[in-house]
Amino acid sequence: MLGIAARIGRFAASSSGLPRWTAAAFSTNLRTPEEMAVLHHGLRPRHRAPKFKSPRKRASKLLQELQGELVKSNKANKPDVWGTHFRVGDAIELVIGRENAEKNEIEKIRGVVLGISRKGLDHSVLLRDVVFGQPVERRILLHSPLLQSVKLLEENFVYKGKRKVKRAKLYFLRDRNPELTRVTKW
Amino acid sequence: MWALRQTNALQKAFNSSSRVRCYSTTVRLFKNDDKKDTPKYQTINNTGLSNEEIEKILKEEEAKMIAKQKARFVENWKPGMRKKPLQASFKLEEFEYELEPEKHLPRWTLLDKRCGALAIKVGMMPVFDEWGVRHPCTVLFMDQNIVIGHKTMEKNGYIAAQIAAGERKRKNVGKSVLGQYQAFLSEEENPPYLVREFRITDESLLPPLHSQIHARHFVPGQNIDVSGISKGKGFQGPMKRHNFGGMPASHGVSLSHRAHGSTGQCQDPGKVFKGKKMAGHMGTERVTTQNVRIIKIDRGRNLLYVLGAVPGNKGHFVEVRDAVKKPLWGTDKVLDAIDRPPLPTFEFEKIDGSGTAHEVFMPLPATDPFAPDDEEAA
Repeated sequence: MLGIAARIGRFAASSSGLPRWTAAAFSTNLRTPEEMAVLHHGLRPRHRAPKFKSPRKRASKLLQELQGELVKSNKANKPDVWGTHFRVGDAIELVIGRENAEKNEIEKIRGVVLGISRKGLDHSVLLRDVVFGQPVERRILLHSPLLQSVKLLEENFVYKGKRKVKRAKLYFLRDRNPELTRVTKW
Repeated sequence: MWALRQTNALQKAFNSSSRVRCYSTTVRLFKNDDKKDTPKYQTINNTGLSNEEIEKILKEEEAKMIAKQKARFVENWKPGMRKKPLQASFKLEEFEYELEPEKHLPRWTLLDKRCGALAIKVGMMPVFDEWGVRHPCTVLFMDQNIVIGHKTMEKNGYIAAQIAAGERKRKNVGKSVLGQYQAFLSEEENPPYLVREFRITDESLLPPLHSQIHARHFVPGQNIDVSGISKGKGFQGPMKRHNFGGMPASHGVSLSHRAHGSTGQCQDPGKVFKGKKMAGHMGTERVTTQNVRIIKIDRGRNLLYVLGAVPGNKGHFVEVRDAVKKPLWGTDKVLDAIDRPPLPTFEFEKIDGSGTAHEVFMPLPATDPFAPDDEEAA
């Protein structure tokens, strides 16, 4: 990268006193590629050192970075959770337990996805199921280390594939027949 | 006759035991006597001892009483010092310390203060630990905390460390302020954004001049006090400002649902007292949140992840100091259960932590906090 003075100097030396805005100055035969870049972009200063930013801007940038890094690393480390693609209205099974947990500590949760809340590290899923005749709703954070895997049981479980799901949140199902949202058999 | 009998008894008592009170009765004279020359009270010596002996005994008793008082008075007493020897304690270490105080370092008590730091409030994000517990944390970024100056008892009458943090454009800083930083600023570097003082209790705890205070000055698991300028709320009514109850929304209440109501009594006192809580400006004042726990420290990027909320807006500076009430030194909740923080500050060479995160977590509980209580009962 050339300095400002160097760029002006080269321009002045090669143009032999012609001002910038004449037709001759804009002709490409007389100009080197570097001069063309200067003519195109102008002689504005280039920032060598990192640009000075106020503490508020640096803070917001830093927060974005931190959150983005964590989200990325979590998604890379857990393909079982983030690899399965599911939508609102599908039936899902989650396996919840720590990595070193024993068999009796691991539990499987099934349910219909009523809504997905995408908030970075608080990415969460609202599940509804009818267990032993009792409707149960649960919100589960997908970035939690307790979540081991997500498995798609049935697509478009709510309408059994006959109609499309045309909503982002299916809260209206709470007032409807509970059979629509019953995933577990008993 | 009676007096004689008494003196004989006293003499016997005096000879037999060493504890005897010397009596000399006093007789009050009549009012009409001259008050200037003659004394008001006339002493009659009805003991068998002479006046000199009585005085001697009285002096001895006085000396004993003074000695008793002096024994209770401990010279150069400082808060935390023991006046009587230790008799009972829950910790064995205290007895060791009593027997051989020279072998152990002087204790780090609640009254001892070391230097604090300045940090930028970056924002809030959740932190999951290994047990799966989600901690809502505020991220504090310790941006280039450099010790600019010392305040000492000789020169200033108090002990403190001046710390500068952040950066500012040179053109925004006046010449008079720039002059203060000329000693350690080169031409390329930017002058600091903020300079604050932190009180210290002892001159040996002053961090060295021109040294940097890193995030490791604090220990994961300890409690800190965070002070900042709170968010501005503008002109607010008493319900928000002072948690007043307001009045019902219906049932005939006319035009005063959120008003403050009465402001005092009647003709007595006949005025409204100063400091009466009313509507006014709220926010943009210095607020300290106490006992905020450090969950995680990022050593490479100089970040503190701190549990809960912290006063102020994002991107603004806050003061971070060891907790005054409950710093948790010596407990299991602090990493390695250390009994004192790094003094005067943590020293290590410059680490360029760009891009790398060296995270140190606070000590976690031994048992799963999500485990049901039935197992413990069984």
